[in-house]
Amino acid sequence: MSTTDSTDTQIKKLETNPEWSEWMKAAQDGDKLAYNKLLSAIAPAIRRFVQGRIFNTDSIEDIVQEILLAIHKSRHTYDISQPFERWMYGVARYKMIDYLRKMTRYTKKEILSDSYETFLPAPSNSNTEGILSQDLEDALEQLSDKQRKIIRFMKIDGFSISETAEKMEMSESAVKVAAHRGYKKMQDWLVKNGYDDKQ
Amino acid sequence: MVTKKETETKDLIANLTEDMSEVRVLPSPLKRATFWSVVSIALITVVTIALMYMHKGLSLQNLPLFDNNPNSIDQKLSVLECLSFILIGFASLFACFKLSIPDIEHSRLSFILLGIATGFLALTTLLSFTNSDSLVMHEELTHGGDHLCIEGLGAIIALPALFIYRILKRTAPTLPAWTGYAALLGVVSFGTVAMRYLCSTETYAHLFLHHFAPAMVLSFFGLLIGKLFLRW
Repeated sequence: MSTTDSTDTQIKKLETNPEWSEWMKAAQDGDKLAYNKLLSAIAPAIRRFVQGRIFNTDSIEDIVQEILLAIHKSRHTYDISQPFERWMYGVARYKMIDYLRKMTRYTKKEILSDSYETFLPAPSNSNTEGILSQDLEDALEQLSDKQRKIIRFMKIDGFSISETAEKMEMSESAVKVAAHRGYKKMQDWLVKNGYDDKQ
Repeated sequence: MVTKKETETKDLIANLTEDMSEVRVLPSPLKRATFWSVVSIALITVVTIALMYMHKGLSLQNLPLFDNNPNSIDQKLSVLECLSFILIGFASLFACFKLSIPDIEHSRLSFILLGIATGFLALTTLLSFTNSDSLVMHEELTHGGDHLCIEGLGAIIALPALFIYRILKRTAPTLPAWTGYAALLGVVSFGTVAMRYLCSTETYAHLFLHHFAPAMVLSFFGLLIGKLFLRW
């Protein structure tokens, strides 16, 4: 009983607004204005939700953006008869944990590759330097020209988001969205071709 | 003061707004569970009938409803067992579709239904084990030979499971492992009923070793499938 009570209290503490549900309903019907209002209104609430749970302040905005993308992707699953905030914070918590899990995995991998670096053959002795593995090249081939260019600039040539945006003559957020979709497409293709996404 | 990253978020919102279009909202979990229960039962029936034709020696006289074999397990109990499995199959699918929708605190109903379904399967498995004749059990273990029933169960549930996982992939489960488990438990429950029609061996030992225990193990694979396949 005490667990349920504390959960109920926790849910009650979360920010909400009766208009969110109405805006989402309108957005599901294709109303762009309502959707813009909704995303603009929930972004600060999501930011505060994440801030209260994350110590690394550098990651907060990245997580907020991930959550907004997830809300966008899963908006067809919202049922108007249910409270919107339960659905929204459900997505937010899932994506926040997912982001942190990924970050932990990447950090571990980086530490591991650093510690083994000295055992690897010197890049100058290898003719593979600067060349992507065939599988990654094939995965890149699945993308549109724009997505491919963006991922090459950011992940191979080492440009920042703002530099990539400048080169592509796009806004930084558009670059982020295109890169996100590109990664997803590459991941799907790699998984379909036998790669485990846990690796 | 607005940071650079917050400005990026604003741009992202503008882009997402631009990108959005009308979406087809998912039907309620109850509607989806009803639809997929009917589809699963239909698919399982077709595959079961096909398997009956493929394997000679299997016939409709083994139907629990019309069984005249005096040595078989009590008819009323069999009918009750089949009806219960259909009910828990439906309950599991309902829980599965409820879990496939994001929620900060999933309703207790989903977990209660899953608990009842798991408990029923576990109890049936346990009862079939405790009622087993030790000699028959020994015989099944040593000379049981092939695993036709286990393979049959796998074949029977493959199609509906595949369809339901494909459908779930279009949803947004925040507890993917449990969603995967509920999906497989639902389909396996329907499959277990079909196996009672398909299989002519009516001993508790056989039911334990070749029907209920494999059904439990198969259901638990759903946790793994859900965790690997339903993440989004």
